Amino acid sequence: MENDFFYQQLVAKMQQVSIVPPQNMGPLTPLYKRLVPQFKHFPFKALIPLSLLAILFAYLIFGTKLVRLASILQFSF
Amino acid sequence: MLPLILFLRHLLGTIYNPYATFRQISLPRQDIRQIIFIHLLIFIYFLLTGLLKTGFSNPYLLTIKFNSLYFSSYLGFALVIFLLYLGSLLLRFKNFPLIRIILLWSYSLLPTLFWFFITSLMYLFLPPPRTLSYPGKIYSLVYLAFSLTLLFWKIILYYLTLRFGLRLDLYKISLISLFIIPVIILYSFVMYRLGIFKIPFI
Repeated sequence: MENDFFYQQLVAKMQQVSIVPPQNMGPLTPLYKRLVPQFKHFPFKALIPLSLLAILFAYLIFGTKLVRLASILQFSF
Repeated sequence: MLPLILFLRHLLGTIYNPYATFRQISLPRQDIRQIIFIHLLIFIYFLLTGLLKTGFSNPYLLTIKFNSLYFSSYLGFALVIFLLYLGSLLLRFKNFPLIRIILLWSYSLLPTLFWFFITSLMYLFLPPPRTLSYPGKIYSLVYLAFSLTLLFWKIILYYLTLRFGLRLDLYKISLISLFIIPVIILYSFVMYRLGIFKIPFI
């Protein structure tokens, strides 16, 4: 068994996965386990819509001040 | 050739699969030479941005601008590593994994580098200030959404640096962040007052 390549790969993977203990957040753990996978694999599929929504929402509140903010940021590199 | 392949693999991994990639980078016996390419890109960025800001006309000013930007960015890098070290002391760690932290934090600079590169490019092609016309407003909102996306990406990589670098859980990451973030804000304010960075290169 120890000489089996796939077995060794599996053991290495299991060791890699267990380098950090599982996250425990008490009563919030189920919510955490539902949310976090969205950000583990290609987080942009969640981040881009989230950012667009946040900016549209901010535009509804702050209006054209956001245009000024964009100009300031563009001078900030 | 191997460090370049590792860098490209981890670069793509940081975009497509950041959790597993940071876990992989945090494993023992990683090749530290892979981060040379990140720091080379940072060097190229500051060289180009120095040229963009001061032009060729005054080489003296260009040198000063480049030096102040470049060394201030590495001051920020060293500050973060030092803060993580202090954080590990507060949490009573026996050994601080310096190489692992340097590796992970170097990859965490990718969103920063990407934001600064794109902002400089857009400054060149569509110079600010933005107007209140429809195209001006739409461009501003798209640019802000892009900036916010990269900020979220940066926060994820910061979290993963602490998670896999120091092997912390969310509770300890939150505790250590209460100590790190105010110092980073102070550093950003000092950089702003010195006229070096309006947005810190962290």
